[in-house]
Amino acid sequence: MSLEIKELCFSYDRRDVLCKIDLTAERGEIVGIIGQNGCGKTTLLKCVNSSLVPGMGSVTVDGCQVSEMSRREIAKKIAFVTQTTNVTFPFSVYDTVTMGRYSRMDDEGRKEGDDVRAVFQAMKDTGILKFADRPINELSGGERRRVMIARALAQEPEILLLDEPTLHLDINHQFDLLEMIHRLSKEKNILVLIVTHDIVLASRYCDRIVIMQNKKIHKIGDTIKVMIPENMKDVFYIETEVSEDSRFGLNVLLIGKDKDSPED
Amino acid sequence: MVNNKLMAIAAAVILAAAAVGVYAFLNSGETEKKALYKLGAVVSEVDMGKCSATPAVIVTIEDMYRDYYGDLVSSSLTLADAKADTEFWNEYCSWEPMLKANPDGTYDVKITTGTKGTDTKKIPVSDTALAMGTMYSETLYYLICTEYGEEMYSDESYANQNILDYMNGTIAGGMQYSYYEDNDVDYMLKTVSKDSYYDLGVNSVQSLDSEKLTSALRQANEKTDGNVIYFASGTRILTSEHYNNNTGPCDATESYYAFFSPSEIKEVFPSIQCIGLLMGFSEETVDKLIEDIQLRLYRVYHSVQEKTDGGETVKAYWEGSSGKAINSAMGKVILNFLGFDTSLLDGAEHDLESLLTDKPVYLVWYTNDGRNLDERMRINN
Amino acid sequence: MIELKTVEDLENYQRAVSRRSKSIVAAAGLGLILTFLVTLMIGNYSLSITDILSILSGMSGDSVGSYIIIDVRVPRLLCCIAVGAALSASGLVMQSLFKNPMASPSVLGISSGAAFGAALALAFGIGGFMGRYMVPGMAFIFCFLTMGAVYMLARTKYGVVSTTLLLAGVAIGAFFSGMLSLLQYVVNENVLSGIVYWTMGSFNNCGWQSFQLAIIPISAGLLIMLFSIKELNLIAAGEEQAANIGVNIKKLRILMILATSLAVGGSVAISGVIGFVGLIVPHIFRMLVGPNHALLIPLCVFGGGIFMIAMDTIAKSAFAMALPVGVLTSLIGAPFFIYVMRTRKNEIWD
Repeated sequence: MSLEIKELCFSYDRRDVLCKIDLTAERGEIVGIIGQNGCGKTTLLKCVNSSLVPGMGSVTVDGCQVSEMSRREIAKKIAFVTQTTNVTFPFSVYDTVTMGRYSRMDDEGRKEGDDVRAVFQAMKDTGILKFADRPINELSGGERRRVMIARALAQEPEILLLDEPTLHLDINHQFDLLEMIHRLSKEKNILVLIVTHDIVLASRYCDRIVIMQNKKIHKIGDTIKVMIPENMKDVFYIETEVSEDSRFGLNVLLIGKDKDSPED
Repeated sequence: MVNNKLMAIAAAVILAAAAVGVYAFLNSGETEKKALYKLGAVVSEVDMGKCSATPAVIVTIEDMYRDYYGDLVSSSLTLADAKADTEFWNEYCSWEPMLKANPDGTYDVKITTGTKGTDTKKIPVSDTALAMGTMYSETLYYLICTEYGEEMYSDESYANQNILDYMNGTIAGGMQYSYYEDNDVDYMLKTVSKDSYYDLGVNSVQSLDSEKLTSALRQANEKTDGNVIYFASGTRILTSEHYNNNTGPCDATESYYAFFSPSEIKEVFPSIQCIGLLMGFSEETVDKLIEDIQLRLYRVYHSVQEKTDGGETVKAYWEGSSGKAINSAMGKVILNFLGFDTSLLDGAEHDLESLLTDKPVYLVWYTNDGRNLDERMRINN
Repeated sequence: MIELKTVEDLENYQRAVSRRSKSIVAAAGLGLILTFLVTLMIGNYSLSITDILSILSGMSGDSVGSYIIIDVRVPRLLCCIAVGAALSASGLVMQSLFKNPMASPSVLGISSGAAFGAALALAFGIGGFMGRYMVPGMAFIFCFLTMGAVYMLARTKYGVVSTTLLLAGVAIGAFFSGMLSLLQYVVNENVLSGIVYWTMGSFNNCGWQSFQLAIIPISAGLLIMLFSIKELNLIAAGEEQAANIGVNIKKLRILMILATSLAVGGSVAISGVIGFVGLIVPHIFRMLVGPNHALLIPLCVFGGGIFMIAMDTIAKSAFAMALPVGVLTSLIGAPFFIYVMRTRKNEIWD
């Protein structure tokens, strides 16, 4: 088991945010985490890489408890791409991606040129080599996000955490991004946890889905088993129709708001 | 109907109040009986430069005596009488020398160094001086007047060519000339010309530019075959680097330096001796000046004793330009010498009410206080 | 857009960038040496260039001139360089750490605390056990005390938030400023002028002793900053992101606070409070060369030195009455800062 989350609980002061979360996942998988706002999705991601320290429970990666690892050790295994792509300072794209190599500075058996090679590979995989000398704040939102993903890849992680990676992107770029994530996950054997609002993209690109509701995991399992109209109605109050499409796989058709859903 | 009536009454009341106010304002010309004038106290203005432990303190004491008490009781007292009055003599006149003569003509002098220390330096006699502080030039003026038998600050002294030549030829420079101009320091303005005076541009040893001092000392050395000495006050609180800033130029130009910081009346005498001997005055002249001042002091002291004998000690209040009571040791010494209670000299602000309660009978301000008398008397409060 | 097809291409690009950076830094270093040599010739004691050259080569018999150059001007200029470098680099680090363009040593209250410590020494002789190092020593101690107080105030159980740290610094700074005013109110005139003079900032009394006193803490602080260049770059992306990439934020904060306390404490101890340098210089260089600390820190060190030398030389010789340099930097600082505010385009501070 690459990632094991056991009985995780987290609260801000006295407000509970996560209750008894159990989850395991393997390298090479893409796991989508979906749910309504406030169900604790982002908090869960932050507990995985110890940005937030859970009150109870444990997160284990390859048998080691994350709470006992130093930030650097965590960064070697887990990379996190946050929602925000705003930047304060106009670093070049190359400099930004190179920042991801920080945790590898004290690697054993490190050779000269390792960093440049890793950065090159990350930039090539995300298609941003042509932006190398551009200041990052001159790029569009989608391009910036690709840079952040390249930076995360430069860490050479086993686990990649993505928080709403398709937010504010043009629709074609949304597809581009997820195609790329999917390919990289399989090629490099990386476990990807994606928090997203986009039900359609999640159903298309994720191997497994975690539906969160009310601070708990409501349903978890293979995408085809979890993305069913019943669950969509229970959790999202929407009516859907699910079918198989030979061109791309699972097709979740969004019909509209469920007429029987409770009034807010 | 009722409303209109009320408005009419209100208007009448307001007009009446306004009329009273205008009347009161127009009649406030009788300021003499208001505020601090009510105390009916004696008022003195003193020169701030003459209120520290320098020879000029005798002028301040005599002037203040005259303002408050009037004439001296007896002007025929002698130095022997002063010495016989052991209480007076021990308190104000018995002094220890700060220097020791060496057989080769130099002196071992105890000077004040930075951070409240002292040092002994071997200094020969000089004929040119740079002075950062009025004490030194004033002492030299007093000495040269004593030598030629002129009265201090008199027109005759300013007309005596020997005195003019001495001052102009000896005092090569020092603190800002504009300081003398702003504060009517006549004994400098009338004897030392601005053109030959090397202005160091500052008035304190802290802000001294060592390059300017070096220039000044070198120029002074070029003009004379004798020695050049740099006098300064206020070195006591300097840190070591500030201090080096003042002494380094002297060492580099092979000049000498001496720093004194007298704080009691009786420390005035050894500093007169030091300055006098180091500048080549005879022991006779030095002793004569010292004894003159001691006698003048005793005459005032004696009168004060007579005039206050058996009476209650009354309060005096001395305020600086900042509006706060002064807190200096020397100010208290002067007022105590003149027989006053100095409990009001606490460095704090005293408002009109507290002064009217304390009832000081003698009020003292500085001549360079920018406020006019009404303002000092708290008229506008 | 550049053509990068292979790893070698990228390596070449990186080498070119690195070469450019090194030459910029070298140019700045050269600029510093030149400025030093030029200002060596300026002062109230007149010496010609040939005089100075012969003194520097050790062949001059003019002992007074030697005193002026070797014991007065050289150490004064060296102190200017040290203080300028320390204040500029500290300002840079604070701006990056707190992601706030207004951050500078005076904002965090360090300067006020140090000034208060020095005033205590001047007024009451507190710290007399340090002998002639009483005033600089007290300035230094209070620098650390202030930093500690600010840090303690800003600590919560979730760690230290940068905005809280800044606010705590402003509060503590205001407190010490108030205490300083109170002190000035109660002391007598002699001591008062000493305190006021000290708080206005000046290199007038900076000789070899001052240099020896300040160079150790300033160097220590600067070295710590130099060794943290990577972390400083990462923090510029935001503390959360930096933590995700592997930076130990807590340790970095403490290290940077220590480094800036050392550098600023050493500076304030010898030259009093000089404002705006830590604010102006980092902004100038950020506008010129961008946000990479690998370039910025050395540039702030050299550039800060050049700036301070220039300011001090102007302050001491351009006007009829010598101005304390702290007054000059304040006079220039305010309009400059307004100019910066209106023209910078590339930055979106949080």
